[in-house]
Amino acid sequence: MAIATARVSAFEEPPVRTVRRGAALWAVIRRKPLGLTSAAVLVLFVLTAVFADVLAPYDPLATQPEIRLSPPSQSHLFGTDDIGRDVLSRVVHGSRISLWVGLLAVGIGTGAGMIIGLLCGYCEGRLDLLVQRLMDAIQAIPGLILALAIVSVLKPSTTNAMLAIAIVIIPGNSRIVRGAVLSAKQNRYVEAAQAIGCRHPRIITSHILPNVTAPILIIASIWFGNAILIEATLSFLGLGTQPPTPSWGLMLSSTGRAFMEQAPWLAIFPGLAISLAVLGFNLFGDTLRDAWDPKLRRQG
Amino acid sequence: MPADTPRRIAVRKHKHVNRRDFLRRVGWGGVGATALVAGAGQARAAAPAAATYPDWIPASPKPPKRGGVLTRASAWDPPVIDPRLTQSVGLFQFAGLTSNRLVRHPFSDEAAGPSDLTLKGDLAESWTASPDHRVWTFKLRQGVRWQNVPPLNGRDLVAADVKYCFEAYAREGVQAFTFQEIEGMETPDKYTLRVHLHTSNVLFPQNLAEPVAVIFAREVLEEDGDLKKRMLGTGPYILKEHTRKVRVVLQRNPDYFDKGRPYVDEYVILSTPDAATRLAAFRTGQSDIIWLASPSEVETVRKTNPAIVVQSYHNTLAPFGLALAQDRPPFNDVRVRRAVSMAIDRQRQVDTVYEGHGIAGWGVPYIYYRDKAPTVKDLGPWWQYRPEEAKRLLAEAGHPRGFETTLFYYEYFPQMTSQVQLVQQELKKNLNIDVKITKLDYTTYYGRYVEGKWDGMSWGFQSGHAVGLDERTYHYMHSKSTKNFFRVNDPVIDELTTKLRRTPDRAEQRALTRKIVDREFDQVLRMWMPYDNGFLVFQPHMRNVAAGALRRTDGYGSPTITRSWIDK
Repeated sequence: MAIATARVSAFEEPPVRTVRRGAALWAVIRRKPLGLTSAAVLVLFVLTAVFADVLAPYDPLATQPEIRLSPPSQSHLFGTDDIGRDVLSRVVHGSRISLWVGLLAVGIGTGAGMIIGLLCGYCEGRLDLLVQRLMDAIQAIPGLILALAIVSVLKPSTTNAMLAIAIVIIPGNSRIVRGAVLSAKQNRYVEAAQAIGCRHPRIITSHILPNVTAPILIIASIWFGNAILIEATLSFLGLGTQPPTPSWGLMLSSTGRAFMEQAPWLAIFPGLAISLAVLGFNLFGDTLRDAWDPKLRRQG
Repeated sequence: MPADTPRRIAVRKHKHVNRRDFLRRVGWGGVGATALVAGAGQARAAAPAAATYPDWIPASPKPPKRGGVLTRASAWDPPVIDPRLTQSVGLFQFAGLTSNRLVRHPFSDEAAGPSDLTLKGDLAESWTASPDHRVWTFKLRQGVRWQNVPPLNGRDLVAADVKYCFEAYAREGVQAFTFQEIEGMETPDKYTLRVHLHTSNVLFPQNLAEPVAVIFAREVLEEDGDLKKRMLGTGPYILKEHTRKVRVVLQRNPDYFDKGRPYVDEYVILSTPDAATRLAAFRTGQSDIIWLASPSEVETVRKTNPAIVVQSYHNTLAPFGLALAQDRPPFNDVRVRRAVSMAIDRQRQVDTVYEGHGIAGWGVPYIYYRDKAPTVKDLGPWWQYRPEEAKRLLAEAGHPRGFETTLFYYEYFPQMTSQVQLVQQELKKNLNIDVKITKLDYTTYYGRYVEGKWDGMSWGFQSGHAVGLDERTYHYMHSKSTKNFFRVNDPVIDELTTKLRRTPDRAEQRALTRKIVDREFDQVLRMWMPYDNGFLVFQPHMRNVAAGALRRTDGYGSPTITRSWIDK
């Protein structure tokens, strides 16, 4: 009897300790100070954007040209710009644009990329071939150039900048999701679901999608930082957010560059905000990967 | 201390920096760098008060020296080198050096001061008019040779060349409106040109002295079909190289008719669109001339280059203003235009954006109708900052709650964006007019503005080249003119500007110009905005480079470089 039991257990999968994703992330954040820092930066960023009206000491659009180009002081911690607007208030409100652009552009880009990747990976065949060649064609154009072209054809605005960034994001995401789906499709539970007659939409949504969300979320978090950077670049080139809306990229390009020598704080603070936000999202993306990537988890 | 994993060992062995390490280092590096720069910024924050600079640099009493290379980092690049197709300063920052005009304004070494606009002969030695000012006869200077370059090979300039050139200008291009005024031309002898105009124009020679009215070579146009590839003239410099968006090199013309001139052997214009690069080039001595907008910028440069020579420039007009689609509602109502004008605090813009070194804004050069530059008060009731009155007037015009409109612009200089946003704020605050701003690239802006395909508002311009009174009044304000970008359509203005060109007496001309300006201000036909006066800054070895009114040495006034020299 004992022999028989041993034989049976040899064919069984080794016992796996199931760790929930949230718990795994929290464990990594606690273990790695950089992860904790990035999470703190992101929380700070989101809170700043949400409570901008409360946090900003002045109206970001209120002009007071009599105190233009004032250096940082107690009354204006980040100084004032070329028409006397409080730079701190504009940086605080600029976080809204960045967060909004990041959320929407990455949301649309990741969502569309995910749908395309799921369909291509699951269906394969001619659809996969055609759609992925289209994605290849889009990917062949450098992201920023593509975004510039799209915004030039449309009209310079924040919305169009978001749309352009979303289009830039789609091909890469679809590729990653497609790869993950192709791998997930080989699992026995998918074969089992097909064998018991589950419909395709159900297999995709219930069995495949939950198993490809980790890479999607990791990539999305990294793209979030890139989206902020592209929006800043487009605004810097005059193709994104239009004045007087406070946008970090626009602040850098319009006043930061023009008055770099006379008033360096006009470039420093929005530049610092962009760097912090992008760095925060990148590091957080790494933390997510540390927490959810099985290979890295095994390495400890 | 955690044990070394194989991966860590591998990383150390190959000195490989992975993405994560890189991000970590960037993070700490960024914090350190920011602290450093912020500290430096604090130190630089306190700008000294602006010094007073002379508005004129008299000619050097020393005998001029020959030789040397004059270099200038330029903000502009010629879109095309065909003078029929553009009035861009990019071309005319050097076209007046490769080519001559029939008549010209005084160079800086012969002018009494910046406002001296006495006409002098360039290719023409003298000129006379018929009693009714419909026929103008120009006697050309003899012995003027085209540059010794194929296909001209230094042949003599004759009256037929000028006739051919004027006919070509009238046929097509941006100057057609000016030259279509010519009914016919005759050349009674080799050196005489007689011009018959459709109607009297006492100011016609002024139009021929405009920096854009250069005489080009007929052979080039006939051989090439256009003037886009070669620029040959009779001027003091030969165009040796023109590499678009890189540089323009001009070499001294040894056969120039004004013997001994020019003094400088070579003039190099480096295309440098970035202001910070231009400034760096000047500071390091790689550029001899620079334009700076504000006193604080001059002070910053003086810290590193204390020997620089500074000319405080005084504009006689503003080239930019709020152009309204006044051919349709709501701006076709004079009350709306007046209300908008009164809701804008111009003096505040001068005092802050231009640090006090600016003008309130008007379109016709004041030197043609008054002795001193106008203040805001001199512009009349509708140009004062009176928000309450503005609100009342807008309500009277049927817009008590304001309205929505659009404004597009191109940022010619950073202060312009400051002004656009200040105006937007004031219109919202004082009149509840919501202005949606769109900042465009130059090509889109220029095309849309000049073709007049826009609604609402534009931060518009009048062409910067014009010196003459006829161009600044009739050409820019008459309802039938193709250069009337502000869409002025006022019968009184049409009548006055036409009358002005038929009035030979100087005093009467001044009185009429005053009437035109008064009418313009009263009807707010062009809503001028404050503009900087700026500074021309030269390296200490530059001589005879002063800029005159309406003609900056680095721009449309470039022909004065014929008399400049380098004292080293």
